[in-house]
Amino acid sequence: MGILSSSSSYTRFRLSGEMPDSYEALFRLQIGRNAFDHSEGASDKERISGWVDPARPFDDSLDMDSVFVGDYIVLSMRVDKRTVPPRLLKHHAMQEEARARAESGRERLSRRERLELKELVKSRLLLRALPTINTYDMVWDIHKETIYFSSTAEKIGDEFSGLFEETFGIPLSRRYTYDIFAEMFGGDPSALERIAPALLA
Amino acid sequence: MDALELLKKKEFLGREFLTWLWHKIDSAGGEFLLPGGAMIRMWVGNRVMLVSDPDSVDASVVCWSEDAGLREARFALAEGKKIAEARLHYEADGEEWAFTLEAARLDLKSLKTPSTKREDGEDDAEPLALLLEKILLVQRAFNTLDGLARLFINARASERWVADEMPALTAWVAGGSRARDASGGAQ
Repeated sequence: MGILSSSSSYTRFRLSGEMPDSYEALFRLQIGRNAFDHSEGASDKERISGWVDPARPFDDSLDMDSVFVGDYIVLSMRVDKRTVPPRLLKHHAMQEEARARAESGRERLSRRERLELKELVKSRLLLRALPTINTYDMVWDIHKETIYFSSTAEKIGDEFSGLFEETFGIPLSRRYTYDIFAEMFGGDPSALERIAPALLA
Repeated sequence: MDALELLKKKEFLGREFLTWLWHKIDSAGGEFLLPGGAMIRMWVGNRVMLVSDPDSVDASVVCWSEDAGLREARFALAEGKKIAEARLHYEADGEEWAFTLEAARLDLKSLKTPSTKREDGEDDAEPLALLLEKILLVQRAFNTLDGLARLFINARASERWVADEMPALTAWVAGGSRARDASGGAQ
């Protein structure tokens, strides 16, 4: 679900740091560095994430002209997740251990050797696993310093915040109800803190 | 108290906001004049979620569909449950919008905006123009939400809350038990 869908969910973030002057050149470089890695070398990882074009999430290059749109920066965070069923992993790991014992002539392998073999088997199986792919769109209104993100899930939001800060060097803060009300309340903001729950029933 | 504790402590404001919205929809025909001059007409949709314990969705009551479902929701409210989430619709400038509003964060969940040109079948519309149109629609939805939130918090923090708003709101909440009784009682 994303901004071009007929129905999508959004949460808002605010910048918690300063925008650099002449940001476009720097951001173009950084977005490229944090673009989604489509290479074979990334496909043995359980989880990878990076930026893609919201309209073309499977393209292996990111067209920067489609990223900077008027007063907005528009990107999608693509997250690929691969899993190996535990029983399958155990089965193949045991096969590898048996092969290693036979080759070495030993009855037992050390704990470290078993763990290393298990990791090797896991990597091989991950390469064969098809990923679950999800994309989450981000629209950054540069002038309002507000980011609209197309997921309301807490963990996805945390992952997005991390990728955003890694890319742009600016931390984000999620806007909770209290923050929104506190910003709106003119005059004496401390009065908001004195408001107690109303007994309605 | 650290920031997270303070946020948690103040979550009741979001729940009161949802309750106040529903009360205003019921009692004022759903019309809101937003700061800035825009007029909208709002109504409650087909889903309201109420909780006994705000920290646990296990103690939740979810009411579906219009009429009977909302009478059950009104009864639950009268019993002391709090609104955690509600499906809301509104009309502005002849176009309809819908979203689900959650008390804790005022995110817009399952937002449905008026259709864009492509959705209306104008296939020759530029992709970039469509994207910008969609961005503006999302921003307009948030602006509407912020306008409603501003109306609420100004009322909540004013002296008229105790004198006028609170008595009307508590009377409306209490009326939920009578509305359910009038419909024939529990299912």
